[in-house]
Amino acid sequence: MAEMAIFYDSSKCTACKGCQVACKQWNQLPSPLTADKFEYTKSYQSPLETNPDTWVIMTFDEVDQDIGVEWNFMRRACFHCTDAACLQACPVGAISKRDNGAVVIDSEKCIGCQYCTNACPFDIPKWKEADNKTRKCWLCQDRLANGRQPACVTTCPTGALTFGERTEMVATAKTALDEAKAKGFNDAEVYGVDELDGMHVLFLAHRGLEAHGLIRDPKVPDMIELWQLLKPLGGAAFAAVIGGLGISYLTGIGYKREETDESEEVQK
Amino acid sequence: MTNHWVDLKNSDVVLAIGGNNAENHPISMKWVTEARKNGAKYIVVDPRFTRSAAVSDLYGPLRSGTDIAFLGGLYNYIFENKLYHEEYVKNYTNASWLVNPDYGFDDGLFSGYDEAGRKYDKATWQYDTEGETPWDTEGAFAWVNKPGTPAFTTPIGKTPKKDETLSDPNCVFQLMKKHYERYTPEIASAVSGMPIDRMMEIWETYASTGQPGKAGTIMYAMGMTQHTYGSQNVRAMAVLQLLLGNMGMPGGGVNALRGESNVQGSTDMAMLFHIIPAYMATPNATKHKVLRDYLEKETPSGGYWTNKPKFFISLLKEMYGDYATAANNYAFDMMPKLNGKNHSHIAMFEAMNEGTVKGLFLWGQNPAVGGPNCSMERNAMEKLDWMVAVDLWETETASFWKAPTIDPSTIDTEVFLLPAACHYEKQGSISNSGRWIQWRWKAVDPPGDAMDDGEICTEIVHALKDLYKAEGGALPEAITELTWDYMDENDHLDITKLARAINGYTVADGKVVANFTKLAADGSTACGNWLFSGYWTNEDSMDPADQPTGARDNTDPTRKGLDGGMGSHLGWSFCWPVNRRIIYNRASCDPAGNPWNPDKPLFKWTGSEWLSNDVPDFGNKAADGTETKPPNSTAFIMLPEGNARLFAQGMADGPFPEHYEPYESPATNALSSTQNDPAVVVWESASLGTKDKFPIVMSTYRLTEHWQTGGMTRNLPWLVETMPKMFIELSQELADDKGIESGDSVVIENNRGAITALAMVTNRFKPFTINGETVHQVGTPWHWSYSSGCSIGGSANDLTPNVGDANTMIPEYKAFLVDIRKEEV
Amino acid sequence: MQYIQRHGKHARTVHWFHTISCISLFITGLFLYVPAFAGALSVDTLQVGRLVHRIAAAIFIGIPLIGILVKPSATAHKLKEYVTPWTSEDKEFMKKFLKYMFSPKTTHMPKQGRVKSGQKLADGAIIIFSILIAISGAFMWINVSPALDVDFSQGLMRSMYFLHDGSMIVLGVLLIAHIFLGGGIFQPYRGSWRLMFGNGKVSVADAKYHWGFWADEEIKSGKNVTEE
Repeated sequence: MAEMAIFYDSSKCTACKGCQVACKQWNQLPSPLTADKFEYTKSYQSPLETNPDTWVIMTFDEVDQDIGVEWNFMRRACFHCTDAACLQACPVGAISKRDNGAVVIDSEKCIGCQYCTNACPFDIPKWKEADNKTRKCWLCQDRLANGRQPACVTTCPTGALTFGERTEMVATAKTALDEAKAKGFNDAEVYGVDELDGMHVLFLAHRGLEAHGLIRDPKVPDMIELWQLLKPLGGAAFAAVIGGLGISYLTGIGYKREETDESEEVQK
Repeated sequence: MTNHWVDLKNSDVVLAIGGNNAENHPISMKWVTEARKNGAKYIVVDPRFTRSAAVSDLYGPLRSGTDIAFLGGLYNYIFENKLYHEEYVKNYTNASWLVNPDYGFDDGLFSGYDEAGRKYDKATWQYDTEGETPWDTEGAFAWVNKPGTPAFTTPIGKTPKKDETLSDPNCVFQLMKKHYERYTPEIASAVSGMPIDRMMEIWETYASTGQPGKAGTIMYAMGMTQHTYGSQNVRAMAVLQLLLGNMGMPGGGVNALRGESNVQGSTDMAMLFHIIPAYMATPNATKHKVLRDYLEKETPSGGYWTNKPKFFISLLKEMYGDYATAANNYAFDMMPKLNGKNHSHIAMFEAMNEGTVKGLFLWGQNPAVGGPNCSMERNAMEKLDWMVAVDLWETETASFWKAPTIDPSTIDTEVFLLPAACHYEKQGSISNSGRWIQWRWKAVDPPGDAMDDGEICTEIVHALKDLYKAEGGALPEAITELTWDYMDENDHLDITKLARAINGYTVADGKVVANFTKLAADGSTACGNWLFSGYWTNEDSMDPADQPTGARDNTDPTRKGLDGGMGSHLGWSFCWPVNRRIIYNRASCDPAGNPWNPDKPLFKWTGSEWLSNDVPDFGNKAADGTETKPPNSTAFIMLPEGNARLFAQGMADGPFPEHYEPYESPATNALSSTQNDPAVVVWESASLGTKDKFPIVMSTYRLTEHWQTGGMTRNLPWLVETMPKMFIELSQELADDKGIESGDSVVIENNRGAITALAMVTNRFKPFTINGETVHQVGTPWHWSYSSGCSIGGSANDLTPNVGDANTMIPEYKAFLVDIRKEEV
Repeated sequence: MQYIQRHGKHARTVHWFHTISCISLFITGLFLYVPAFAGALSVDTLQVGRLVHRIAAAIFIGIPLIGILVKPSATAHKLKEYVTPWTSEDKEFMKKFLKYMFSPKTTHMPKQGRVKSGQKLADGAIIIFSILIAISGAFMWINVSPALDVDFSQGLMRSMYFLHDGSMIVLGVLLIAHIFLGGGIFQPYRGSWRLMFGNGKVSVADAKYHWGFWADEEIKSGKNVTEE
C-alpha cells in the first residue's frame, strides 16, 4: 500500500467526539464500569488525556473574546511520524513502521518498559498497569487491509476527517489552508507535512498551531537521539576494546616473566 | 421541517436559533459545511456559546426567552429598510388581506381578551370579508354526494377583502408594521441582552436573504418551543421567512430539529393526546357528539384540508374494517374521544395528583427525569394504582419509589417493567426531521425477554379482545371490532402488514393505493395515515426494500428537464407528503413561474410545461393532464386562504407574535405592561418564584455525549467516559461573585427543588445587561438523575416549572429562575 | 613457596557477589538493549529477564552497602588506597601502560604500591559509573513500578535512559579490560584469578612483580606471609 494519511480540518470539526468513541468501539477498548471510577474533568474534554484504552481524544481550548469565546478543537492521537521517536526508543523492537506509514506497537512483543511513552515528543503512547502493555492508535491496520478507512474517519459526520494517499491529503490540506485564509482565518496553518520527516496525520489548524494545542516544530528529543547514538558508539567501543585486547593477547604469547631481568629492580 | 437536511446546502445564510445543531444533530453540520463551501454564512443565536457557535461565522448571545424581542426587532428593521421580498409578500402571504376593523392591540393585549377566563374571543381577529364561497358540490366537491359518504353540511367560505397596494391601515401588512414599531434596536438589545452592534450585524446578514433569489434557512429546536409562548416563537420564525421570501425556497424554510430519532414519526402517527394520525383533531365528546359534528367542525372551507373527510373516513375504515359502515357512521361512536378536560402532560400529572388518573402506561418515557418540576411528577406517581413502564432499562420512572425523597412504604402502586427491544432489534420505519420515512431493518434479536413495542401492544390488544369477548362490558365493540389482522404465520406482529395498512388500500380488492389522492370518504378506501400514503405501494412485494420507504438510490438527478443536484434525492426513501421534499415549493418561483434563483431552480415554467426538481406542491396538471399555466400561484394549499399567514387567527394567544417575559423572569416586560403570556393556564403546583429570592436565569440543554433522560447513555461506559458527571456552566463573573471554582459542588435551588452539580466555570456564559441591570444566566444538561448505572447526578428538571405554552402546553423548560451557592462540605 | 595474603574473606565474598550479579546484569541487560536479541525471546522470558536484572541490581548495590554499614572502617581504609597521591612511579606506569599492553616483553614497568595507578583509575571509574548506573536504574525501576504511584517527567526519564546506557558502556569496556587483566588472560598476569576467586594469596614472586612496594612492606612485617 502507498503511504496514507488522515487529514483533520479543525474548521469543520464540532468536537462531537464521534471519532473518540468510534475508535474505542472498533478496537473494543474498555472504559471504567462503575460510577466511582469516572472523574470530572471540569471541561468538555473527557478524558483529559489519551490513555492505554483511549487512543483518540478531542481537546478543547478556550480563548476569551468580548462576545463569546474562540473555542478551538483538536483531534489528539498518534501522529504516525516518519521519524518516530517511539520506534527508536523501543528496546525490544516491538514498534515498527508499516508501508502505509503507520507506526504500530506490536502488543505481542511489548514488555511494558515505557521507554516509548517517555520518548514521544507528543506524549501519546500510554502504558496500562493491568496487562503491562503500552498502547496507542495503530491507524486501524485491520480496516485498511480490508479496503476500509480508519474508524474515526468513517464516523466523522461533518467531513472534518478525511483519509487517502498521503500525497493527495497534503494537497487537500494546502487547499483547505487557502480556503481558511480566504475566509479570514489569517493565522491558519497546516501541520504534519514536514514535521518529523512528515507525519501521517495532517492538520489544518485554522486559528494557528498554538491555539489548537499543537507543538510548533516538534523534534525527536535531543536526549533520545543522543541516547540512541550510544548504541552504535557502544558497539564500536566494545569492538575496539575486544579487538585491542585480542591483539594484546597475541603480543603477550610466549611471555615468560622468569626471563625478564629482575636485577633491574636492584639497579633502580 | 418544511425543507430537509440535505437542502441546508442550498442556503445563503443559515441561522440556528433556540437550537444547537452541531451538538445535537452532528450530521446537520455536514450540510451546513456544504453551504459554507459556496459562501454561505452560519449564524448562531444562543444564551450560551455552544459547539455550534464555535464553528459559526457570527454568534449572538441572547437571554433565554427573548427570541420574539429579537425577531420582532428584526421585522422592524426589515420594514424600515424595505428588505422584505415585496413581490413574494404580496403574492404568497395574507399581507393584503383586510382584518375586522374592530381588531386592536393595546399594551400587550389583543382585542377580545377575557381576563377571568384567560382566553381570547377571536371574533375581532377574523378577516374583513365580502361575500361567500360555498362548496361546488356539482364540480370539485362532487365527492360529498357519492353513495356511502356520510352526510354533512358543507362549509361556506367567506371571501376576504384585500388591498393589493398594501396601504390600507387595516390590511395585515400595515397592521404588522404598526405592531412592531415598538421593537426598536435599542429595546431589542435591552430586553435580549444581545450587544446592539452584534445584533445589527446579525440582522443585516440574515435580512440579506430577502433579496429575490437569496435563501435563508432557520434551524430551531427546544430553545424556541419550550416556552409559555413557544408556539409564537415558532410562528415568529415562519413570519420572518415569509417576509424575506424564504418559504418554499431551496435553502429556506422553517426547520425543526426533531429531538428523538423518530419523534417526527411519533407525531405523524399522533402519539399526542390532541391529534389522531396525520394531524387531524382527536374527536371531542362534547364538540363532536356524532360523526356529522366532526365533519362539519373539522373541515375547513378551503385549501387541501377540505379533503379531511376522505382521510378521516379512510382512517375509521382501517381501524374498524368491515364493522365500519355507512350505517353505523363508520364506527365513529366506537372511537375514543376527549372528555374536554386538558390531559396534556402537565395536566395529566395534576390529574394523577388529584387521583382522577389511576393508571399510567409509559412507552419509552421517563417523566421522573424528563418532566417539568419532575419531583412533583414523581410524587404524583405515588398516587397511581398501577404503572406499566416499557423501556430498555429500569428508568427512574420505572423505579420512582427509589427517588431520594420518596418513602416506599407509603406507596401502593403496582409497577410492571416490560423490557423493550431497541431500534436495531426490530424493523420498522422512522420519519426523520425532514419528513423522510426511511425503513430500518432488524440487525440482531433483542436480549432475553425484551420485545418490540408493536409486539407488546399486540399481546395487550389480543388479551383485551379475549376479555371483552368473554366478559362483555361497556362498549365492547370498540375493542373487539378493532382491526388487528397484522399477524404472521407464527402469530407474531408482522409490521410489514401494518405498514401496508398505514399506506392505505382499496377495500374491495385489498390493493394498495398509490397515494392519498386516491382516498375516498365513501368507505371504499382504508388508510392508517394519509400523509404516509405512497410509502408502501408495491403490490407485488412485502419486502420493504421494494417499497418507496425502503428505496436507497442516493443519486440526485432532476425530476424533469432541469439540472439535478438540488438535494431532492427523490429515489431515497419516501418523504411525506407524496415524496415532496420541500413543501410550499410553488413559492420558489415568481407568479409567472420563473424560479427566484435561476441557479437553484426547483421548478420552471417554460411556456408550455413545468420543469421540476421536486414533487410540485401546486396543481401543475389539470384533471385531463394538461399542464396548468401560471399564475396558478396558490402556494400554501393547506390553508383556506391559499396564502401564508403573517396574521394568524388560529393561535390562542394572539395573531401576531408578541414578546412576553417567561413566567419566572428577572426583568419587567419592556414591550408592554402585560408581563406574561395572558392565555396560559397556571397551576399552583408550579410554585413560581420571583427574582428577589432567585435572581439567576437558568436553562437546560442537551449534550452530544448523552441522550435525553440518560437511561441509554448513562448505562454505556464509552459514553459516560466522554462526559462523566452532571455539571453546571456559569460565567467567570458569577463564579467570582459566589466564590465558586470549577470542580466545586454547587447547590442550585428554587421553589420547586434543589439539586447539586459540579461547577464548570467558563467564558462561554457571560453576564447579560437587561434593561440596564446585570442578569446572570446559568445552564445544566438534563441527562442526569438518580438511577442508571455508570453515572448518577442531579435531575435538572427538579427545577423546571410545570407551566406550559398557551397553545400546546409544552412546559417552559428553557427559562426559569434559580439561585446558586457553593455546597458546604 | 612463600605467599602473601592479599585479599581477605570479606573482599573475596563481595567480589563473588559482584561477579555473578554483574554478569547477570550485563546478559539480561543485553536482551533489553539489542532488539534483535529481544526478538528471539518470548515476552514472558523477557519479563523474567527484567526481574533477574532488578534482583541482580539489588545485590550489586546492596552487598557493598551492607559492607559499608557493617564494616565502615574497613571500607574507609579500602577507599583510602585509591586517593593516595600519585608518585613518579605511578605516572611512569601510566605512560608505559599502552606499550606494555602490546609489547610486554620489551616494556619494563616501574614498581607499584598496593594498588597500581591504572587500577586506581579503572576502579575509580567503576565505582563512579556503578553509582550512576544504580541511580538511573532506580529511577527507571520506580518509574514503571505498579506498587509505587510515581510519575517522573519525560525529560527526567530520557536523561536516566542516557545515563544508564552510557554508564553501561563505560562499565562494559572496563569490565572486559578487568577480566582480561584480573583474570590473567593477559599473559604477564597469568594466575591472578586466584586472588579473588581462590584463597586470596599471591606468591611473593608475583607480588614483587606487580606491587613491589607493597610486597616489600608485607615481607618486612611478615604478618600475612605463609609458607605453602
